[in-house]
Amino acid sequence: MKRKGLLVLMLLFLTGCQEIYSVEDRAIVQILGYDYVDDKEVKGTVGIPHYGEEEKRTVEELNLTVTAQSIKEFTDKIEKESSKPISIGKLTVSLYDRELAENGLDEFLDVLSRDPRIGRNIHLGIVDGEVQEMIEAKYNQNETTARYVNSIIKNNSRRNFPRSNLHWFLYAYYAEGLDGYLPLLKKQNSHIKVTGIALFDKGTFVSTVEEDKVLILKLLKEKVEKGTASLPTEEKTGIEISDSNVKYRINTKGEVPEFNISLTITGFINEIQESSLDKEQTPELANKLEKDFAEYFKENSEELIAQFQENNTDPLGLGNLLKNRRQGFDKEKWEEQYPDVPVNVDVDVKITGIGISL
Amino acid sequence: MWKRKKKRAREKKQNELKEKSDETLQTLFEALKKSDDFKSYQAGSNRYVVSYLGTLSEPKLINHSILPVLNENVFFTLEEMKNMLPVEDLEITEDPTGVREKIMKGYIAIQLKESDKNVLLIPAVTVEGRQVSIPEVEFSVVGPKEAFVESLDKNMSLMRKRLTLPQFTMKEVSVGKITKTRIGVVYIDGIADPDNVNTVLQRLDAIEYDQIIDSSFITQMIADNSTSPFPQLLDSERPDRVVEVLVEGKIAIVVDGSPHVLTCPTTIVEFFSSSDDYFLPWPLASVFRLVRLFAVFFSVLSTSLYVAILTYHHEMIPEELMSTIVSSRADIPFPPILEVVILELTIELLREAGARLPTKIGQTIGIVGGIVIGTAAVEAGLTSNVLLIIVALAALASFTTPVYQIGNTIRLIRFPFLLGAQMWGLVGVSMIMVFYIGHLIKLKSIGRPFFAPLYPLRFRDLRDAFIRLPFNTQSERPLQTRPVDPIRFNRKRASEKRDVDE
Amino acid sequence: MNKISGVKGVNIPEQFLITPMFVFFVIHSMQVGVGIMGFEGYIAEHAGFDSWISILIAGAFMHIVLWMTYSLLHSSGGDIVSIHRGLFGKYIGGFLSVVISLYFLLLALTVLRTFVEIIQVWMFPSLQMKLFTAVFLGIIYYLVVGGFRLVTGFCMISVILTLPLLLLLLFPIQIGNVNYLYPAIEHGFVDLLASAKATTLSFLGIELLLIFYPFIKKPQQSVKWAHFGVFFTVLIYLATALVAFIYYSEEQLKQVTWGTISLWKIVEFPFIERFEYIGISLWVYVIIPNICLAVWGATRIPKRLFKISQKKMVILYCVILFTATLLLDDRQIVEKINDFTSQVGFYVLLYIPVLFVISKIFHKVRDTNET
Repeated sequence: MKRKGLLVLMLLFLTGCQEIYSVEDRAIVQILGYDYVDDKEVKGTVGIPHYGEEEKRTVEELNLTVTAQSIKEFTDKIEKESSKPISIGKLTVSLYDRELAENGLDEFLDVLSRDPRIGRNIHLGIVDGEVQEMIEAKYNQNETTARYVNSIIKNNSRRNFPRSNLHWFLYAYYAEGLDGYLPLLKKQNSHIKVTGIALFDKGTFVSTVEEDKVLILKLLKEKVEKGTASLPTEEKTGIEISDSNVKYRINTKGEVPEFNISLTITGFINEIQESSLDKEQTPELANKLEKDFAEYFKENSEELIAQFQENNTDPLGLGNLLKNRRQGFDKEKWEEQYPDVPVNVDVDVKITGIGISL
Repeated sequence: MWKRKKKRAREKKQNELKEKSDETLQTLFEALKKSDDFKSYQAGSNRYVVSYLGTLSEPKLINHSILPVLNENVFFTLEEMKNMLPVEDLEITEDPTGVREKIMKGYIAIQLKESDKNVLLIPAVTVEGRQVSIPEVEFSVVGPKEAFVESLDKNMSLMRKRLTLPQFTMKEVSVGKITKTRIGVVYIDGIADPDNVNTVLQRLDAIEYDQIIDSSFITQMIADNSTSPFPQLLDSERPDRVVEVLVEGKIAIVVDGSPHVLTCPTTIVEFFSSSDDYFLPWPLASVFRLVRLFAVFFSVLSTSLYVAILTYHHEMIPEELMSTIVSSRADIPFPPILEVVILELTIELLREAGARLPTKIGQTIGIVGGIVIGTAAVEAGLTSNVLLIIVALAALASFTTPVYQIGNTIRLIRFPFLLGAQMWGLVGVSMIMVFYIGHLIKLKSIGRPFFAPLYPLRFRDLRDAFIRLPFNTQSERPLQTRPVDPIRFNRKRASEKRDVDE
Repeated sequence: MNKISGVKGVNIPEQFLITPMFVFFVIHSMQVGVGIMGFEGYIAEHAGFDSWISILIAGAFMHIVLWMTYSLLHSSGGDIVSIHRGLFGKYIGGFLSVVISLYFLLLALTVLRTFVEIIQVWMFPSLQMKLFTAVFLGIIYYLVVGGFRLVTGFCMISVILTLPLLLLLLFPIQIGNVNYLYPAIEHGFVDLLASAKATTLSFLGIELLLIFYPFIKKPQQSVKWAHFGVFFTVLIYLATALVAFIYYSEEQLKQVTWGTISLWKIVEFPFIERFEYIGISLWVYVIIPNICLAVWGATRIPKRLFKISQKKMVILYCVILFTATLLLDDRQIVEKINDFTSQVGFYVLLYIPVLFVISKIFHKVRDTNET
């Protein structure tokens, strides 16, 4: 009797109060972008995939754009324009235009980090140009913009670009002595290109790493298992990196801490000018190339680090390293020191092969 | 509760005895004569009175062995007649109750005169029954192909021939106020725990019902918790399986008229082990057992997970799957729960129809229903084909259980999960699961824990639970049955290892 | 065994006893509750990334308290009620026992309310609390009424079922940054102790031994299992904390309320993403035995004291839990009650050594009087 009563009660509740929307009745936002309008207002654009009938297998994307003063207002306004309740849980890409990033993304990051529905491996990106235009454009018959942008970022981070997603960015954003970076995207005609890396000082966009130096940043940050670089000489010798390893050492003997970065790179040559090939001289050639590449990586790294110090951004996390490895970290003192901290890069390149057709 | 039942039973028995003491042979025959198949006539040289039920007694025996003797000789006492008749197991009695019981079983009663109080009872039972045939419910590709039939004696002989042991004991009781069904409690003396035997006998004794048609009646009546959806006694139609568990120290209950023999005490894992598991090499058997276990979980949980995820947690669906699911659900007018309930009920309808109809039509119904209704439902936009696949797989998975009874349980218990999923998504599913686990831990099979060997944790019994380890590791009988003699064989001798090249 | 005169060991029929090994599961289940979902932020507040040392300190403290509890119980052979009665007499002892009972009720309330909070935050922002709590407590009632053996069984199942969740910790390790986690002990001992104290809420639960001791079949043999239980808990907390320290940056960790749940967010399989939903759902299996044990312990004391039917007490306590859960409908209050319970629990843990000393003195005095 008791159980029956409970069951009836449950059924009553089933049909009553709670409004339930199953997956197809929701507007699932996959891409969300903001444009700078003026100091007070932002223009937000969302992309909602609309899956067609089964046989056709086409995906159309519905775009909504509203201007609002705060993110809260923005969600309210978007909801008004949508025929289905908005669901933010499956967000995969969030884009911001350059100007907005230069003014600071703190508010947006706060919302992203607070909302429990949002995943931690979504991608953020900075757009060179208008975000709305990028989201609304149609790139491929069967692909939404969200998926397209997502796969572009993912694919590139498998090669030359350093990995980045919301979690890593938040990690750096909150950490002391560490700054985040995001991919910089640009719409070119009918496709999107990753043109570089946007460097941040906490939440503010301060500088860019150009495409040719992106790999250097990746080498300094993480293990590279697939990446290509070429010497800027006329011969255009290219190396394919198969493994890399980076180690940081701190020397705190002096007044100012000194950083030593040692970089080990293993790879093989995949592009070389015919003329310089000589069977007899292979070992010497390899030695020469190793030296050349080491020189190249060292120079570029030092340039890049100088650029970081100039812009007062610390994507390598030197401050964080110092804080974790040495006692008595003083944040303010460090911030003063940072631009002039000596950083030495030591590169060791090992070439395992010059191709098979020798 | 048990005590009360027992007391009532005792009182009832006394009442019955009183009724019977009023009975005389005369009233008995009068009562029987109302029935047209009761034959009573005078035969032989001295006009002896021969009475029997024509439908139960063997006419051959009467014609060839009894009537000639009666015609050729003259007897003055029944004792003389008894010595002359070429039939075994004769009996002379005065007790009308005994006479009644014997006649009802097919004995022939002979009196010298109609008013005579002494009766000679001649066994001439002919019971029409099925021949021993191959098992249909618990079919296995390899292994013995004999199945129990509806006769207690035949079933006993099927078991005895596999277990030639004097300690193989059977205690017979009769249950059912009207049917007086013969029930045999079978066990191996010296292995089975006497406590278990007593519990079973006591509970059988306490049964208070007018008819026992099948062994499933007994399952429900002597179960520790009769409201539970889980069967607490295992039923089997395979003599080899029953003998196997008897040797482990379990007790079998054989009911006359039922081709299923019950064994107890049992555990939940036993319901998922098939006799095939012992006919295959142990690695294969273990993997198949795990597959079956997975199938059970899949069958119970898949549709409720579908409801939970689609209704509440669509964040969990990867992007690549999302398009498949959303586009298949795009035109469905119902929420997932309704969709699932409709489809589940359809499958249940098909099963019920298939079970009720004769085999040949049943198969057709299954195919017609499965293919036609399924496709039509998808085309009409009533259900999504993703769900159709899930439900069909779930139904298929529920058929992998080797024991039919637990298959029914699985059919039923998935509905509460659906309710939980609809209420609180995955948390709801978890909560229902908690309830069932609690229930299973509470359950007992004739006083022994039903959830063993998981709880209480018995490592020894785990060797033949979710996986089956090789025979040489199973040197002890399961703890579950509390066997008097727990050692199966000498482990040391069995696992003696030979060195290289010896 | 029964040295304290007038107090007899509590005799429990054999079929209700549990084997010594299960003490492991009971202790472990009682300790791991909602605390583990978000303790990283709490403990890092004082000692930062060094607070993993605090976990070890707190763990060591737990082992000592456990040892004292056992020696207290060994010498009395009964449970907390008989110890109290023996030491303080009928009235004061009874009062103290009632306080312990209320403490367990508070524990149950904290766990229940915090879990409801987690579900509200992470899964159903518009949860109908009344119905949910009612059904949840209904299940708890069903289990507790089944007796201590049933609850113990459930503890074991829960440990087995949630063990795979530990494997999920491998995902954040792959992503996290080991570079920044260096064992440089920057924080002072005081900070470490403060962090250790903050860990207490997560480690509370071994006090339950004071109540279920008579239910152990061979109590002497259970000592090692109980210590294993505590050790296992410490190990799990340590692993979780270390992974969290790898995954989060120190300042980020302070922003995160439910560190462990956020850890699961990163887990991804081809057929399923966002493991926090599965994690929270599986956590039901951890929460339920936890609350069941607390409710069982809380209701066992009045049964021993006043000879009231435990069933009625369970109903009464469930009703109290229900009302209290509904009344505390605010994020801030939930946090406050967590802090409060943590404080109370800390003092209860400190009370055990006090009791230990008193009982030792009591024995000394009586022994000298006798001779």
